[in-house]
Amino acid sequence: MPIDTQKYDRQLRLWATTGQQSLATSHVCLVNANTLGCEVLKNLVLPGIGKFTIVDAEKVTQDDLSANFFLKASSLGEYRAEAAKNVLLELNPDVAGEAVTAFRDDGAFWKQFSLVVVSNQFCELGSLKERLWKWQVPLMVVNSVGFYGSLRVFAAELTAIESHPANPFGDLRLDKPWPELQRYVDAISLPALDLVDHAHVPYVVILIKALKEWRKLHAGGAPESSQEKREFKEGIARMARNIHTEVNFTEARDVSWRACQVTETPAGIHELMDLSRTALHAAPERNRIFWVLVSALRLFQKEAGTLPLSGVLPDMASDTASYVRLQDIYRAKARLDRLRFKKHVAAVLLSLEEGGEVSDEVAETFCKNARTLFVARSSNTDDLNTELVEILTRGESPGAMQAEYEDEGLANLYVYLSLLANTHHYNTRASAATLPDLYLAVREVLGSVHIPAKLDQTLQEVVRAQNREFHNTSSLMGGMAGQEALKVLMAQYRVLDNCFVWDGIKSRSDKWKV
Amino acid sequence: MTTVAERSESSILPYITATGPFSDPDYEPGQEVLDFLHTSRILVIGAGGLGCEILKDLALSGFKSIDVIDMDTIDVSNLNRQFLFRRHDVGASKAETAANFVMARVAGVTINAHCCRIQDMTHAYYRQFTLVVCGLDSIEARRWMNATLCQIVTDNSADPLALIPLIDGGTEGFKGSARVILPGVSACYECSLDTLGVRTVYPVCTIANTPRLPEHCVEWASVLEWPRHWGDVKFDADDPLAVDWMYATALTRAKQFNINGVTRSLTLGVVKNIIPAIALTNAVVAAACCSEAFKLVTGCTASLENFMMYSGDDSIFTYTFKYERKENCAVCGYDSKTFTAQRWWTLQDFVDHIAEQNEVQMKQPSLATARKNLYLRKPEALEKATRPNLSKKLCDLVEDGTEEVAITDPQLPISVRCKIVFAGSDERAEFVDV
Ligand SMILES: [Zn+2]
Repeated sequence: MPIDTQKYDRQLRLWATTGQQSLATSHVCLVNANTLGCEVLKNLVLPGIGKFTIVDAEKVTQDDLSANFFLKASSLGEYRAEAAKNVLLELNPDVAGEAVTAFRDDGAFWKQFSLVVVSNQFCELGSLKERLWKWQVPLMVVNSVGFYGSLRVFAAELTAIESHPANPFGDLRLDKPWPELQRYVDAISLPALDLVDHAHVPYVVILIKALKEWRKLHAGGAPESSQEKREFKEGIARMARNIHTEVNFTEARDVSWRACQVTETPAGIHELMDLSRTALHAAPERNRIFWVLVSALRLFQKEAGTLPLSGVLPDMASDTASYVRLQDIYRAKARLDRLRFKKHVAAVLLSLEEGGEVSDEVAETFCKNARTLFVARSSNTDDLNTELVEILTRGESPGAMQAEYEDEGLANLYVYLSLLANTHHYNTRASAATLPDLYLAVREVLGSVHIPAKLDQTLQEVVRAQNREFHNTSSLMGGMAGQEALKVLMAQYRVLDNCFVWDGIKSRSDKWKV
Repeated sequence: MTTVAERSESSILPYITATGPFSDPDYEPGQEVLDFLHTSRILVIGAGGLGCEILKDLALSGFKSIDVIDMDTIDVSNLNRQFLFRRHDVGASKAETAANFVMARVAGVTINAHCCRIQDMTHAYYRQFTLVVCGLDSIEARRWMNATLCQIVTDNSADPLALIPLIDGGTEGFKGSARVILPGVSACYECSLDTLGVRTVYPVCTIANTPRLPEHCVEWASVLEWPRHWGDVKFDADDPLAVDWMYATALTRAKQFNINGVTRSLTLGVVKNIIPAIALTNAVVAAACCSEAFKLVTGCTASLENFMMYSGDDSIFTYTFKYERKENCAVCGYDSKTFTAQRWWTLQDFVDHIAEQNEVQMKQPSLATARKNLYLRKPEALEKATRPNLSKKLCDLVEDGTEEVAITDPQLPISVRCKIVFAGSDERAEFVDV
């Protein structure tokens, strides 16, 4: 089905047609069509996932109607899965939906999903979690009780090529210009230019020239200390005929730090390349092509001593001809690198005894983003890990509460712990939770760890909520969970890794890796 | 006719019937709180991406009497997030369609829809409300609403009911914010105007002489070529033929300069200043705003102090902090601001400079001192009479550092008062002519 570019215009500007295609072919399962669950699905149906399935054996009650906009009052007594499915389908005719009113435990059923979202208490969660982990189906567990909410992502491995970094590194190679770029720079003689041309030399040219001169005077070294960097910067200002009027030289001076940066492969990417030796054979199916590409990147780096050039030239003060020429030089080099990279991809595929190659578009996207690849690997444990326990214990020792941040971090952890206790209580007991009940649950969750005295307040707040959803918290958590779900489905952006808590009373949040 | 039973209120009752560990010690839960929640009148500004969420959230938070103002009609590109609208609603009023949808879904809620501009309503109209929730995409409309609510407080200083809290939400792509403003008490919208980023403006000389990006080519078509070809005819981004012309003109320009990347979608993005928008950010920000509305009206727990920013592209991030009031705020402050001007500047230079300043942001500034009008846009006769001042030196018109200048804009009920300090030389530095 072709993408409806008019309807999806405002989101295509974020994740482009590649992201949209991934969404359109995804199938999401929601377990529990409570308010939070329906809000998550709403946020996935609107942007256009392919299909959803709701698993829910409950029937619509007055309590459901109190907070859930995606149940009609006339559906009282009907199956929640069925009622919610019908309302949610009205939101977007591109999306298919199904309702399942009895719990299923066969692998064939669960393996069809790109992602499973479990909303609030669910007794079978433990066993389902184990199995989804084994079947390599990503799972998100969301909770909303009163003003508090939490979100956990369970996936052995999540990857993103297009991680959309807030500040892209830029890949100008000012310190290591390749021969074509160096020749172009050398061919420009600044003193020979007239006034107008001199004021339009792109800063890339200015900085490469300045660095070459600097190296002549400094035994081949680049500016390193802050004193040297300052001198280098002042030197650029002196290259201008009039620094007050030549915008290109002002710009060159302002970004002179770019020339002082060493072009090298980020440590995180080195780690991924090392990891690719084993991951190539062990990764979940959905990530296989990612690891094929990283393996090829490793071979490229081994051969070329550097990563493929991204080929992106930022805008800079310049006349059109110089800028376009410079852009051509960067793009040509990126194209050469890409061809070389594709050969390595073919070699990797051949080593897997399957042959074939990747498309030019895939190779281009990968090479452009090779410096900012994202991988999150996590565990399927429920326990608070040692780090969290340490924070908790530290909170009780004298003097630990002085730093305001630490205090806040602790308070957020108390909220998370209180939600865990609430879930534990309602999964194991039928009665409404009292404060002593929740203390008991905390003991069961934390094991031997000493219970912090300050936990009292957040536990009381949870008792007050009576295990009910407050619409605004569910809507907010539905937005956040929907967002993380989209990232998982599109394999774009950096997904939560892996535990998040929301305190709607203080309008604060926190996250940890468990 | 059958009356549909109202929904249970069990989801909000825990906060109405019991106090909590984080509640104000003075909080007295009970029927009175519930009655006040039911009878409070809430005004929602905007029935777009945020507005749809806000109306849903308020209706399920116990609010029963809501007004919504939005002058827009529904467009196809709204359907990826504005979930109260369907394809057959395209062209209809957002405010009316949204109000009818929510009233049909949640029995017992009354929503009065107004398909008009906020500027069309009087102070008396705004004074009816307990609080205002803003879900707008325009800075100008927010400033107008903020200034109006601050004015109502000033005009009725003896009446505590004149303090109408303003809860403001904003989103852009994966980012957003929610804030609570108590007019005259806490920092107002104008107090933090300087923290807002200003829209990228491409220099005219780049557009005219040295285009490098596809965006430069589109700006050339829209800023320079459109008025040259069509004179006073205003460009209408909803007219496909006009967009085709713009796209073709930009494309020709790009080909001439060997610039890649001009597409119809990019053309529209630049000429309409399209901001990416998705359902989930609106959901997060609207819910944060309505949570605060519920807290403020019931008093069940402390409210946000006073700003929360949200960012969702790199994991999930929120940051909450308190904006402070500014003594020289043009709306709620008493002091005037100070701006620095070069001695060689003409009044025109100053007007161009000041219009772009983060803490002014006025498209059509008029300037006056107590002694004389420096430059007024309206009425026509005064514009004509003051126009010669534009080419005069500013330092000959205004006293250095002592004389107060008032800057106003017909779009805003705001007067920015400032003093001008002169610096630099009398002569303009020589520029390379490009
Ligand atoms: Zn103010």
